[in-house]
Amino acid sequence: MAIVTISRGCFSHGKDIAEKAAEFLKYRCISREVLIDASRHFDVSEKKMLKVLHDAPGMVEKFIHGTDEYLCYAKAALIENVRDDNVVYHGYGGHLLLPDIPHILKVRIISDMQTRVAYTMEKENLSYNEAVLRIKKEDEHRKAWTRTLFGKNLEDPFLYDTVLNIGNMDIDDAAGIIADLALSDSFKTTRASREKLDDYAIQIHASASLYRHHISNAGIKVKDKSVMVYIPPRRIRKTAHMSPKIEQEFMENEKKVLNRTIKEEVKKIPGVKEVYCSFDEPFFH
Amino acid sequence: MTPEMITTMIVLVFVIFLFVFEWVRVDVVGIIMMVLLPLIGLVTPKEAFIGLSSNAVCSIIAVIIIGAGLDKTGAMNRVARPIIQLAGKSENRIIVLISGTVGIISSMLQNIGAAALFLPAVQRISKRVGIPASRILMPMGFCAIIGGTLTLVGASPTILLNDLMVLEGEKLEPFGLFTQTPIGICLLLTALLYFVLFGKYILPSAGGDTNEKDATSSLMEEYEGFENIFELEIPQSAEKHGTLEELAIRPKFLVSVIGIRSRDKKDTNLLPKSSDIIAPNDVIAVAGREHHVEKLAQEYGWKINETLNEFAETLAKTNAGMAETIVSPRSELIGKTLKEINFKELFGLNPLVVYKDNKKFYSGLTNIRLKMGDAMLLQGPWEKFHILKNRPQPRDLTFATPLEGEILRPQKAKLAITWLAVALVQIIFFKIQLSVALMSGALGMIITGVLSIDEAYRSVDWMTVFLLAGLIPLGIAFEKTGTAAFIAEGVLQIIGNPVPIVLLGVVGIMTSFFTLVISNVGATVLLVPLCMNMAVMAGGDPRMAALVVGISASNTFVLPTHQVNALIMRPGGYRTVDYAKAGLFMTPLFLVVELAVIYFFYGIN
Repeated sequence: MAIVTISRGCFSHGKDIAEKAAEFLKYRCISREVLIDASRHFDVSEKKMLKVLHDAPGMVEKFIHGTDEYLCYAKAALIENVRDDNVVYHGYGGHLLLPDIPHILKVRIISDMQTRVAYTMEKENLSYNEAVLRIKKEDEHRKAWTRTLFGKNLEDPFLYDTVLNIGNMDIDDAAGIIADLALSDSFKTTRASREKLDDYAIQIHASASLYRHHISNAGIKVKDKSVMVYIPPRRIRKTAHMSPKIEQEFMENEKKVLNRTIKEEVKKIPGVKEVYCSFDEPFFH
Repeated sequence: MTPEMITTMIVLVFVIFLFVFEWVRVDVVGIIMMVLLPLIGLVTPKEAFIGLSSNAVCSIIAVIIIGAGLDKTGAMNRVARPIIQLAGKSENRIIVLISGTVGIISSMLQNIGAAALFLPAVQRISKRVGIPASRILMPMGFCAIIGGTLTLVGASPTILLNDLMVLEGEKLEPFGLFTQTPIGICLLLTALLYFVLFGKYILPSAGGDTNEKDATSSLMEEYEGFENIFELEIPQSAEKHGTLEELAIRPKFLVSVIGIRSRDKKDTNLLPKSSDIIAPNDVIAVAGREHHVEKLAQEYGWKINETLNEFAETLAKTNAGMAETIVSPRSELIGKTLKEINFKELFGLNPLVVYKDNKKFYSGLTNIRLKMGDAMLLQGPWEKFHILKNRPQPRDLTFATPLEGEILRPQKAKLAITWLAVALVQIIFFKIQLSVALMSGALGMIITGVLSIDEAYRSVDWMTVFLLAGLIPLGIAFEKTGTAAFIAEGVLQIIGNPVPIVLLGVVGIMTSFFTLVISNVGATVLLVPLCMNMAVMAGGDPRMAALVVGISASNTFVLPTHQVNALIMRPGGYRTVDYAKAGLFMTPLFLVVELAVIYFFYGIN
């Protein structure tokens, strides 16, 4: 009983290995489609969702945190699809979108350039040079995406539980290794890891729910299904005089509205026991 | 370049850096300038603190006190009430009436105060009429910002202008309170027209937060035994009358009597005790659930009034309400019953519910022995609540909910308006200096008891005072050292020698951009000396350049961080992109209208 995420270099047979491993394990095999489905569930643009999941954000988007909301929705969709275990996920950054939880097996599949080029030439009907260019471009894309959004190096082996070089390995062997590992005691779902995953799922759903209500900067912690939401100070630019009374009323009203919205929305998430909110006063500057 | 100019440039870069990155608050930048500039010899110590005695600072303090006086008497509520009633159900009519009024009010008073005044009403209207709050609040917010351009004292940047308009040591002719009014009126009309014509395309239909409950309503909801306050008439022919104890209203119907009005004796009792009599022809006010009150009326043959008539004034939200209190540690109430301490006499408040051991008691309250931590829902005039709150430590009761009501002086409303009129008459007809005229109005309010001197001091927004006072010496240094002229010359070499109206257009665009990135007062201080020099060199009117800077500094619609936009953001359910969308058209429209009025009305071409 485990969750397997497979991160693969492009044209490294990752999809085939994932499907084969799922077949060995009798697990479900899911791919990036579940993330794109999130756009329908959360009623946001599918085009933008695809862009966020594929392209590294530009300077402006990075500055205004334009991609955070979409990533949160993708995480919520993925967690919903994997939280019942027995699933192999291959596709956009599963190892980054899912938390560091013991029963999630994170696999990276790599392959030497020649094998990948040959596979690409055959699959995409490209010349040698075109295939090399294509692979290099895609690799750069994925590296930039991981670096910009998560501050991580895609090729860092510490991000994964295992890295498989399939240069000299056939698909069945690679899938067999993954299946054996997934069934080992190390990746068994325990009560503690299940609770950790449930808390994480609540955290992500709470975050997505608050994004839906335009509350984008909340700090959310979940422990034993109790949610603690912290709202950092909001920066408000004083453009004209404001009496201390209005300032006080403004702050009280802001807290009241936020408290009500947060409690109402987060309590709707299945499994949530309690919701506690704390606020920093808006900061006038 | 002289050494002073080089030093000024370094200071300017430092200031812009602080403005953009906001490592310290913008008013602290002002105080840094007050200290730094005389220390490095760019201004004299006297000039460094001249801002504190400037026309701008004295005017703003006076305007704030006048605003606080109007607020304290509820005068603005009196203005708001008929406007809200007139607004009706049509979306466009609501937008025009409410936004227009907010714009006019913010021409003299704080723009956020004007918006806050109408905010609850807009939320109520939106709920009642079924128009999303987001369709009304943004027009209202934008008009509050534009309203600041109607008079010189409407917004901080324009207040500063007269103190910044110095060229080569010579003070230019100051602007009057209404010099800019034609521009402000046209801008306000443009904004109204913009939203009436295009509102449905540019404004989102988000519901926003229409739950505008005040603390009293929220408490009544929490304590499920109360839905509302009702007024009951005791008919002349009513068979049921007598003392409250005999009538057993609370134990029998779970309804609390909170007022008895005797028409015969022409007396209103807001602290009814069990021995008090309800007689025929009396009117009573009760708090309870609707069906309980209906049952009481039906059984006793009393009549429920549709609205509060006799108690409309005494129980109005501005005069009375509810608060939740808790028996404090070391309170003298511990171990005693309400009867033993004669609670109503002692505090002048009606206990409605006692919350003890996780149970709510709605009747038999007088015999409950209180212990530390018991909660009590109290009802009564705000004045009594304030007296209770001001009792010395250890207080008998601690407030668990904010005390929303403040002591108003509605009887002084006419006086407050008179003093505002006195100030305006001095400015318009006798051409008395703004600060003197406005301060005389503020002083008049204090002397005639509209508000106390302590209340006046407490109402002052010290951040704005130090922001204005601190940045004025920076403007002086910028001009005095010749740095403004030097930069202006450089800019003109790049952009050529445009005709005055084109130059003003450039000034307007520059200011509108700067005011998005940095504080509007900061932008004004930096741009007024620069733009005045540019205008002189290009053969234009430096005063007009200063005016364009001052007005364009209010061209702040595309960001939700500006105070009025921030106020309406959550109630309107707006996202950042909604401001960008509405502001994207409003910003150029603002500039075009502003320049068109200057072109046609002020004869600049």
